[in-house]
Amino acid sequence: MNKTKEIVILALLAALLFVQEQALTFLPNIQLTVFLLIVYAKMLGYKKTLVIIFVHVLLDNLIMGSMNPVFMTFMMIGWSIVPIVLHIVKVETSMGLALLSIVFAFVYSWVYIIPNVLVYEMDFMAYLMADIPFEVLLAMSSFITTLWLYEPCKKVFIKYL
Amino acid sequence: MNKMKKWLVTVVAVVVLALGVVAISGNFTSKGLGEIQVELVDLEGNTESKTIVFNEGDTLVSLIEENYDNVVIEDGMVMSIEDFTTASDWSTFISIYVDDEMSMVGIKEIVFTDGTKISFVMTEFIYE
Repeated sequence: MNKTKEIVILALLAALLFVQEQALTFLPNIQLTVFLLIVYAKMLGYKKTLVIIFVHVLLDNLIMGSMNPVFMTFMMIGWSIVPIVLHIVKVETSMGLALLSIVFAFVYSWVYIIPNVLVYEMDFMAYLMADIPFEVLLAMSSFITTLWLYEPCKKVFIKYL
Repeated sequence: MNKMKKWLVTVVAVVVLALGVVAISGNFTSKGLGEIQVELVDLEGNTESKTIVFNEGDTLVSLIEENYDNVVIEDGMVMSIEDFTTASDWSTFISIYVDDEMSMVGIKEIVFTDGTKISFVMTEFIYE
């Protein structure tokens, strides 16, 4: 793949990742982020996915947050776990990836508690307990979308990229 | 993978998802009758207070919209209420306090019960 095409595709996929998250903000913690990161990591590799994640975190904080470096760092760490783990662990079936997506959803949610505890001095356990229903929603939406959409998306990637 | 098995786990996941949505949305509605005290506090600290009666199933957003003019809520943030408006450069904004403690969640996610005090405090952004 030539460099220009690569940059355009990465920009397009980063835009897709960001737009879906914004479009689904009316639903509580239901998003396609974990699913898309799994597809990107499997199809593009972990390095390119990390670039997309960096752009996504930057955009997310620019639009939604206050560009707080503590939140940005943990957000980056939380999402980076997806491509790094998929680089180490070789899972190919949609069911295996769907089950992993549940783990990713919970791990990201737990990582994101840390900046809240550090910045706002919130009680860790209280935050964790209040966050559990939201974590379950993220996990279930990630599971369903990965289970049903991973194979079709993989075919599209192979066909057009 | 067996198609039947795939459908089965999907149905289970959808049920859990639906239960989660119901549990979350149900959390932010009142469970009975009661009163909340709502305060508007301007930059000088002047306070206007109002007592609002709520019924079962009311949300804080619906109560505020029914009892105040010029209410604009974006992404759970109160951008304007009565004469208070968040400045376009965010130099001043409306912060929400629940029982005198700054709310860590947006207005849509505030849980209230009989006697809860909600304050909308016009706040100056301080650059550190």
